Amino acid sequence: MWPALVWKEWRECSIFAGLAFLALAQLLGEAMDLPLVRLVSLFSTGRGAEIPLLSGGREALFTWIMVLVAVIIGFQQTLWESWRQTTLFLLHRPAPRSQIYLCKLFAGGSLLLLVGAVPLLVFCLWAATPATHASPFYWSMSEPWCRSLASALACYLGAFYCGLRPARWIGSRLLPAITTGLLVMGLKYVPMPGLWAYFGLIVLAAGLVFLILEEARVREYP
Amino acid sequence: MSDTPANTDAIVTEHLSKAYGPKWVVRDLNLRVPTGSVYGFLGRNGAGKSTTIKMLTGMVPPDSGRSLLLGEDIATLTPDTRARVAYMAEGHPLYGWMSIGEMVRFTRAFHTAWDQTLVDQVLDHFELSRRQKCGRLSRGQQAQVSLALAMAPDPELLILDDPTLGLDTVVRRDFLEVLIQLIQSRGRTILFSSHILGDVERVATRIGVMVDGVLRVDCPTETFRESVRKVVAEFDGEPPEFPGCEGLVSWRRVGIQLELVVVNWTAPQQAVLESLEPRWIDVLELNLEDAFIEYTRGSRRSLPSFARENRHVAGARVEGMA
Repeated sequence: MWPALVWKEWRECSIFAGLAFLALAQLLGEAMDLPLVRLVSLFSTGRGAEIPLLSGGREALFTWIMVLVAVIIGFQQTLWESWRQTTLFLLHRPAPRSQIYLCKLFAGGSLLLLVGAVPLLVFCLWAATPATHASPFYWSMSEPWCRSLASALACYLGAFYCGLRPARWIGSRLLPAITTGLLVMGLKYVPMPGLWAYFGLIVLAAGLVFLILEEARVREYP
Repeated sequence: MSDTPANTDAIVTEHLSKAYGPKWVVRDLNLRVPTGSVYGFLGRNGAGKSTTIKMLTGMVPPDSGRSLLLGEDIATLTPDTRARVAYMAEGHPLYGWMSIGEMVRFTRAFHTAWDQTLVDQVLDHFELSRRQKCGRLSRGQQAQVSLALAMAPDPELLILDDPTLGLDTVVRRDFLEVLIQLIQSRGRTILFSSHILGDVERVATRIGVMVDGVLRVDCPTETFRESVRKVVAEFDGEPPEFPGCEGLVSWRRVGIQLELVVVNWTAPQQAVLESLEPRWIDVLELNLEDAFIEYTRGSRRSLPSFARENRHVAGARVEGMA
């Protein structure tokens, strides 16, 4: 049953995930001088004008695209299902509610990683290949980008929790997402050893997963 | 009523209550649906039917009380037991982007028992192509797909929340005929809510009527229909004020006539009315729809409750005023 549910979630999120993938492919393809579409570049003027992975602007845009798609997927998996009333259909399937939600989280999280990690990996492999550009490459240069991926995952969980949690008005509904966003920004941009940042993100993610499962257990589906 | 649930009850609720803010939506509901029965769950809009059904399926947790489905507490319902319970939510929610074939495959993935032949038979009967997108189906077709999906795991209990809501007369009739066939061939328990009394009369063996969150009626359909009487008395001039009697649901003046709606019209009530010296008295039988309307539109605070008949005693019994 889990493959069917994961497939359903992937299929439902595929439009936004696909758009984000194309945007990232364009962004990183441009840095490799292999863009999907030749546009006026925001960050460089051609091959060799930029040291791969060290362009702060490109990394920031990568982060924002990832966070945006993470938030959209998080809300889509919860609010959209609830608006269509298909939650009633889904939750009556003979499976524990916690497992259904864990499966949704797995599907959303894996899709997000796929969207971000595949273009990033290609970019890193290109940058690691000799004779592709005239600048040094160390795998540690990709660390801020990996932190962006982890941050996007935490934002996804925050948005998922927001969509699941009923609230009287939009301000209180968005409270968990705003709090998560602020914490993620702190862990992403405040200078600290990478290990601490990842530890913080893991703790945040674990807390959010716990809250999501608890909310899924006790909430009403009127 | 016994305090311990009988093994023959597919659904049991004990003091089930739910409030939203200060308003009780369902209050102290003690419901028993015998295995093998078709239970019509009636009530006006906002009476608490859908909330009760959502509490029965675990979608809404009760504030107090508990409910048992097939002998298992809904709060701790195992997936195995849930697989034996089919639930058709109001509006028949399906994934609009899936085709009917995809919807069937998706649902089948969750069940170990799955009667694909039955699904095919139902879909063929309704002339539904597996390639049609669920989002493009009419409301009636969505109901038909939902019915096929609900029946395929061979459930012992079906809970249907207003399954014929929004369907036209022909589709509704066809849907119910298939439903009846499926019930008769499999002998399953069904609880369904509906606003359409004709549907209930056609299918249900027992009915429950909710009024303002309280279960006022729980008896065989025929018993309810036969118990509610409309009594018309004509006077020479303006009818006098009716003093009240046991089982009185409502009374009103219509010109020179006095109209009463009474549960269990017997000699004592007849005597009260005769004491007003009418020219004549006529006692009218009502069909289920009229009985339901007269019963539920009366002064709500003074509604008489139907006592549930003791199932251990042969023959149903319906009492008047609570």
